[in-house]
Amino acid sequence: MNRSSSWAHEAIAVFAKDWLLELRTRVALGAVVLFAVTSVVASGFALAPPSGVPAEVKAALLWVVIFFAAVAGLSRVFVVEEETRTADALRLAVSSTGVFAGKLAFNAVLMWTLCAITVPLYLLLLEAPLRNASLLVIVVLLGSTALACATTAVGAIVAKATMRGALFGVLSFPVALPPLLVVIHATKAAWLSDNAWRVAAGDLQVLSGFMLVIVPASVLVFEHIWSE
Amino acid sequence: MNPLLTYMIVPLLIWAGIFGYLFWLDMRLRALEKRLEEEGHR
Amino acid sequence: MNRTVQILTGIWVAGVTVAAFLWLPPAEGFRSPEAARIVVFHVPCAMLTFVAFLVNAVYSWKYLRSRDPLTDSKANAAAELGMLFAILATVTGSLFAMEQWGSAWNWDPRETSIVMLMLVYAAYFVLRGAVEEKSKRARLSAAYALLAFPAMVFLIWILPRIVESLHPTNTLFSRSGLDPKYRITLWSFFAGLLAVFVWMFRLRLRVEIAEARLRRQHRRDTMPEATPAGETR
Repeated sequence: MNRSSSWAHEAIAVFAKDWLLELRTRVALGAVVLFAVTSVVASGFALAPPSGVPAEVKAALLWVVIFFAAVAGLSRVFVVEEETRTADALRLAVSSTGVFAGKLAFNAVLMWTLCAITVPLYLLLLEAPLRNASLLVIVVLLGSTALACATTAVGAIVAKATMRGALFGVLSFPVALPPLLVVIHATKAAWLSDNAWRVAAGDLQVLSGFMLVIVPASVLVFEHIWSE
Repeated sequence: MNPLLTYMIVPLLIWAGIFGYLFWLDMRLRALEKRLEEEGHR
Repeated sequence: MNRTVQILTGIWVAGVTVAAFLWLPPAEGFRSPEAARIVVFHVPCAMLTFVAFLVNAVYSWKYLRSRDPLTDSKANAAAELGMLFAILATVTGSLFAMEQWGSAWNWDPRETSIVMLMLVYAAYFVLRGAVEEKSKRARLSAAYALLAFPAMVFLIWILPRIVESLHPTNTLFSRSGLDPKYRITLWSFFAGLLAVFVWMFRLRLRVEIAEARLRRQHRRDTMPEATPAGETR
């Protein structure tokens, strides 16, 4: 078996193991989804149509909700290894690239689940306009993946430090900021703009470019975070 | 505000920032060296 | 840096500052031409912010390769200086904005990005404060600095180009962008600040080294029998 397929296999094994554990305990999923639903309901209650809040504000609020919900759960995947003291066994069995790829995939799926629940609920409760649904689907998909890419390695850093809960928010915000700014802009386009694809084309490029930079950087750095 | 006055404040601010930082470092360094010397004698 | 170089640096920056008042003509075409000359001070500060954070990223990378504690101290010192220059750039910039654009803060992409930049490195210092053990702190903060670096490049180079900005782009390096007198003053001030940066950087390192020596001495004094394993957990 050559090297490239071996880390891919390891990644799949880590991914499967983590989801099995997650489906049994549902800690990350529960935290993330509950946070998101609670904040969507609260903002829906406050900002429902008669309040006249412009759609621009609603676009920003949607992503603020998604980001903070993600903060509640994305570091879980590394923290659990440190808490149950399984990190050492994993270190011995699996290459660091395999671990990172598996955890990144886990977080990406977690983000997609989160968005699949949050975004329709948000559109429904806040009566956000929707000019271009297919663009919105792509923007949400790319945006949530980019957030997972940006914050997975930060989660690994936080798992090694003290005061994890507070620290993860503080540390992941700056790294997640570029995709957040871009994705809010693109969401506004999908909601309001007549030629939304043209308006959002640059955003989608920047978003993809950001992922192409941050993922290799994370892989390079992760080796040093992960190994003792 | 008088534009020339604003213009004069700018370099003053920069030098205040930089020299403030330098003096602060210098003070810390002196204190540390003094303590090092005292504890070295003991 | 020895005394002579320090004195020469002092004379150089003082000279440039005087020249910026006496030799540099007011900038025509701005709302208040006298005050528009702020750019020759403001822009070098912003450039040094970038230089400092670049230095921080380079030493962070070097640290991960070498695991040399001194390299970690260098990365930390560079981040601290970057923060200082970011503050100076923000303050001078908002003075300029007050004169030219009528309000000190406009949420211009460059104004936004420098605040975000300060947040990035504030988070870096928070992380350093949250980890006790020295080698672990060095390792984690170096990793974080390298993760934050792409975000910083995005904020400085990409964001101002995709969003409407009050700031001009591409004036610094193009020939037609800037009056020659402005260009000379600006770059001379940048050179002076760079020398001051090196000076501050080395002083900061000496503080760090003295602190480390004091800690070692303490350990020797307080627990003479202990093994030198205090650094590990």
